[in-house]
Amino acid sequence: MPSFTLNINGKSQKFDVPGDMPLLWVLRDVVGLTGTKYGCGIAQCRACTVHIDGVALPSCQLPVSEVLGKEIHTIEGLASETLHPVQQAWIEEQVPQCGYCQSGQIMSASALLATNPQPKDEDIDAAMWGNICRCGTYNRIRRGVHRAAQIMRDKKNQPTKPDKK
Amino acid sequence: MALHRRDFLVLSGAGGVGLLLGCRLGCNKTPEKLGAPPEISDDSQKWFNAWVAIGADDRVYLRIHEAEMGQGILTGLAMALAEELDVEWSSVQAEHAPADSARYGRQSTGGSTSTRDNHAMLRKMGAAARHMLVQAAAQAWGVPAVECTTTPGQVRHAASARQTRYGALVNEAAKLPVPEAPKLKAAADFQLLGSSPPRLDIPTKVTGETQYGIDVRRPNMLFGVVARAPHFGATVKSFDDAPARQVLGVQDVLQIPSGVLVLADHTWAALRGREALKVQWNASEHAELNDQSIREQLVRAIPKGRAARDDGDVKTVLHKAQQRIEAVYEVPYLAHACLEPVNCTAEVTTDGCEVWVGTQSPTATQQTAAEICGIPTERVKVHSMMLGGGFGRRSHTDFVSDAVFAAKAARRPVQVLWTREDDTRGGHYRPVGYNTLSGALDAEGWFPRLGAFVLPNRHPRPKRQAARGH
Repeated sequence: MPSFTLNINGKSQKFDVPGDMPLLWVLRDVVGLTGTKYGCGIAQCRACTVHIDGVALPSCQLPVSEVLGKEIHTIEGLASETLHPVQQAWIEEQVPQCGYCQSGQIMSASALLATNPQPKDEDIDAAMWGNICRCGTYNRIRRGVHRAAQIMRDKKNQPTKPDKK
Repeated sequence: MALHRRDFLVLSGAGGVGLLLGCRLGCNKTPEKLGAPPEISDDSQKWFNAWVAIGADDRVYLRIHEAEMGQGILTGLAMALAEELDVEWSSVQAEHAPADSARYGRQSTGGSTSTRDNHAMLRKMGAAARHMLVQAAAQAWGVPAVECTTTPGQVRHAASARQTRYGALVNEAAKLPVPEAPKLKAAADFQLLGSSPPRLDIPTKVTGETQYGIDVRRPNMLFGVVARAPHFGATVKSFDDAPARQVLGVQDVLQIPSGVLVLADHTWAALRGREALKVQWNASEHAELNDQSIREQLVRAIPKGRAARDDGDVKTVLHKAQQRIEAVYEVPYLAHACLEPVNCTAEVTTDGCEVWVGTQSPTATQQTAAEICGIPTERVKVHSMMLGGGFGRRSHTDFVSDAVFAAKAARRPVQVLWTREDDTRGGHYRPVGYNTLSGALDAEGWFPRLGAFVLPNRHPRPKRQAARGH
C-alpha cells in the first residue's frame, strides 16, 4: 500500500492509505481526528469542510493523493492557545443546536473571514450557502459571522504593547 | 405532590444505603475516546440520587436521562436540578445518563415531553440533595437545620457566622436519609430558571470535541456497512463476496437479518467492499410500492372515510354554496434527514453487550441488544452519545440491531454506519398525509350557518391521555 505524507494542523505524518481514499476518511478513521464530519459523502452538505492552503473545501471528495504538499487544517487545528474568533462568537451567540454541521460551518466561516474580514450578508451567503444545517441555525450562524468579525476588529484595534528595551 | 413509583425506587430502594451505589460508571463530561470507561476512582465524588453527584472540589455532575439532540434539554433539565440544588452555573457539567430503567424509568425522548414530564421531578431531586447537604452541615455545627440557609455552593449558619462549601460536606451528606418532600424555591428566588444561561453542550460542539455516535472509537474495532434490500421486505437470495474480499482493508463479508454486511479496517474500505459486492434479492410483495402508488391508495380511500363528526346538512350546504372552496393538503413520506446518518457501535463479549449510540430510546436500545444476544437487559450497557439530529428517527433501534448482529458475528467491536443513501432509503419516515377540504361560502363570503366542512380524511381527535405522573 502506498504511503502518503500529510501536513495536518501543522504536523507532518506518514500514512499507509490508498491514494484515492478521501481525506475525510483518512482524518476520521486513520489519523483519529473525528471533528470533521460525514453527512453525505457527495460534497452536498459541507459538514466535512476543511482548509486546504487556507481554502475551505469538502474533504469527502478530496483524494489524499491531491493534497500532498498542501497545508491541511481541520476544526481541531483552528484554536491556538485561545479559541478562534469564530468559535468564540459561536459560543457568545449560542449558535449550535445538535451541532453536527458546526465543524463545517466554522471552517467555512473562518476561511471567509481570513480573506474578507468585513463580510456583508451577501458575502456570507456566497461563501456559506453550501453548508447545510438540518436544525436551521442559519440566522445565528449569520449573527455569529458578524460577531466574529467584530471580535477580530476589536483585537486588531487593541493598542500595541511597547517593545522591550 | 406525592412521589410516584419511579421516584420511590430511586429514593428509597436505591436510596438510603444505596444512594452511594447511584452510579458506578465514569462521570466524565465528554465520553472517553479509547479504552474502558473509567470507574469513579476518586472517592471524593458522591451521588445523592440518580441525577446529582458533587465532588470534593465542588464540581457538580448531573446525569440527564433525556436525549439532547439540539433542543436544549440537557441544559434545560440541568437548570431545574441546579436551581434547587443552589449551585453556580459555572460549576455544573451534565451528561447523558446510561440506560437504567430501575433508576430512570423507561428512557425515551420525543413528543416535546421532556420538560413537561421531568421538570417538577428534577426540581425535587435537586432540592433533596440540597436538603441533605444542609442537614450534614447542621449536624457538623450542632445547630438546627432550620437555622441554615444556602448560597450557591455553600451552606451558611448566619447566627454563628459559619459557612461550608458543599464539597466539604458530600461524604457525610450522601449518607443521610433522602427527604420525601423537600422544600422547593419560590419562583421569586430563581437565579437560573427564567434566564438563558449558556448551554452546557455548546463549548465542545464548536471545537469538534463532542463525541457523536459516529465518532466512537474502540480498540480493535471494525467498520461495517450493510448492503440492504432494494425495496421493503426483499430478502437475500444469494451473494458473491469474492470481489468485495479483494478490496484492501475488507476483513469479512457475512449475512445479517437486514442484508449483507461488509466489515473492514476503516469506513472507506467497507464502502468500496460493498460497491464490489454482488447480491441477488428475492422480491417481496412491495416491489412496486412507491410515492405514487401510496398516494393513489390514499386518494382511493378518501370517499370511504368514516365520519368522525357530522353536524347539520353538509351535502345541501355545499350544493347550494355561492362559492365553493376545494383544497388538498398532502405530504409524502419524508426522511428525517438527521445530518449525522444513523449508526451504532457495539461489542459482544462473554460478559454481555456494550452499545454506543446516539439514541432517543436508551431503554429500547438495551432491550433490542439483550434480545439479539439472548441475555438479560442487566448485562447490556448502553452509552448514550450526543445526537447529530434526532427528529424521531433515532427513536428506532434498527441501526442498533445491525451493530449488535455485526459485533456478535465479528467478536470484535463494530461500528455499523448507514450512508446518507441508506439513511434516506431506510424506512421509518415522517408520516404521509392526504387531506381534502371542501368548504362553502355564502354571498358575503362567510360560512353559512348550517355546518360547512367536509373533511373525509380526518381522524377523530384522541381524548387527551392522562399525564404521566411523577
